[in-house]
Amino acid sequence: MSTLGLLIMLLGIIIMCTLVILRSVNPIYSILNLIVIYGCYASILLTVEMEFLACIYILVNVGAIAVLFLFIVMMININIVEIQETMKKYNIYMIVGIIGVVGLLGILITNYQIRIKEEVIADFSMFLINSEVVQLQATPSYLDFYSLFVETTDIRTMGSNVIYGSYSIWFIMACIILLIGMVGVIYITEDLIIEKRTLNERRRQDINSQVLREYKITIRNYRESK
Amino acid sequence: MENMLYIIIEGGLKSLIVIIGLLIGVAFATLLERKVMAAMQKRRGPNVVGFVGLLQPLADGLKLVLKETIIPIVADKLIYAIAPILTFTISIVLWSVIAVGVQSVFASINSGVIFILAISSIGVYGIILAGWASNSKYAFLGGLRSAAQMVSYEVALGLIILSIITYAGTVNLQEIMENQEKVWFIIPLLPGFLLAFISALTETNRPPFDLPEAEAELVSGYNVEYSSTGFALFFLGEYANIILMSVLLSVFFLGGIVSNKILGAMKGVGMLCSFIWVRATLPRYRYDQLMYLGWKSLLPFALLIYIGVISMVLIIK
Repeated sequence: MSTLGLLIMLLGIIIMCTLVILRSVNPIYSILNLIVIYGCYASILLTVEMEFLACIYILVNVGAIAVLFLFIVMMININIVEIQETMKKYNIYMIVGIIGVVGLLGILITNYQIRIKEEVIADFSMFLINSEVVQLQATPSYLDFYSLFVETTDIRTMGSNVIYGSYSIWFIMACIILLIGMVGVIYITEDLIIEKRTLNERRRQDINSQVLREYKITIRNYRESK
Repeated sequence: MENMLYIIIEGGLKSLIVIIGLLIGVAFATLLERKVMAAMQKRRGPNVVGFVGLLQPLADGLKLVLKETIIPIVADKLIYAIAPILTFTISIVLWSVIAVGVQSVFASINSGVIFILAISSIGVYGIILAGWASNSKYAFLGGLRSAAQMVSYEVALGLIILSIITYAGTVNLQEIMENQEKVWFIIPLLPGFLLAFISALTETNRPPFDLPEAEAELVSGYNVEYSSTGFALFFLGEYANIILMSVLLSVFFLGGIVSNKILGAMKGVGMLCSFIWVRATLPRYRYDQLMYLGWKSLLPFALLIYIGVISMVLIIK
């Protein structure tokens, strides 16, 4: 089986799982299918020999984020009848989604052929204008990460060339966005808590006292407290 | 096509060797546990079946498989069946990157440590799904409890492993072992070893952190509804994880298997014995104490070690 065949199979699994995610009544099945999609994506990364990225993808998305989703969904009491009614309005979006998937596949196939086999452009030339063919053949002037990944280990490339090298500013910006997201969530929930518990005098979180809190002081034996 | 067939047959044979060896190892690990605990408590332990009780694990396994399989009516049958299989499969998959000798390894991948971290983080799903699919309060609460425990201690263990990676300068397990030929990492990283040991005890649900199966005060846990083969698969997966953790600790801190295979195996068995030693010695933790230890003691300390190791490496360079 060639790499392309494997890739198409994985993409097929991904599309099937996406359909199940949209159609399934029980949200737990949706999350399980989401995990399958993450696994397929990691496998796609493995087919292009990016072990580190694949492992990190599984570690972050499956090991951390999906577990939290699963936790939350399991603890919420879900009314299945309501979900079945609200599912009907998603049917229109399915069509849009299918069109999007077809478009993505088209982009993928054409890009695959342009980037990896430049000779294939000649086969496609009947669909293209002559000047476009010349333009496409001259396109790969960017830094070819794929060759870098293959030459050394991908963790080295990630560290020295991508994250801390030419794209360090985007990395830092992503970190700042993540920080803002976390702080924002804390801020919003703190406001909500204050609105709900106006009677409670201690509105702010006292981190110092929280860290310094000890068992012996806070949790007392029943007999001692008498 | 012939090449493909060859690869499939070779991979199948290799994985068969790993799986059979692992199952025999698990069987005798249970016997070892009972014998060591018996010796610590001045008892004889199992000594009836076979010569000095050597066939006891086989008898236990046979008894477990011959029991009746019970599936609750209200259970989600598909997920109920998948959960133990998932746990067992993941505990086998983890063994594919562990080197048995210098070059004898099922898959020598570059990022072996990260692979272990990633795959062992999937192991939580078996427990959560088992708890949810049983459709019982006790199993559900037990599943959530165990999942929270495993997720929170994974952080500290991951940080310690990261500091080892930084210290060794590589993520390949075999290169980490080769780096320790002169001095074992336990000498410069002793606090890290202690933290990793505690986290490993919690990750594998061993006493004193065996709250998932606290049969006395909390009603067992995620596996209350399981019987027969399902329970056996959970049991096998758990013991495979214990052996894996002891081997990993010996690889990370005690030099692993570089020159002498028997010495390398003895390191792993020694770690396993220390797991059993802890079980026979310490009483069980309360759940809030467990969480306190994880988030307020181990995590800051692990962060401190990580930052310390990074700054040491940077200064030396």
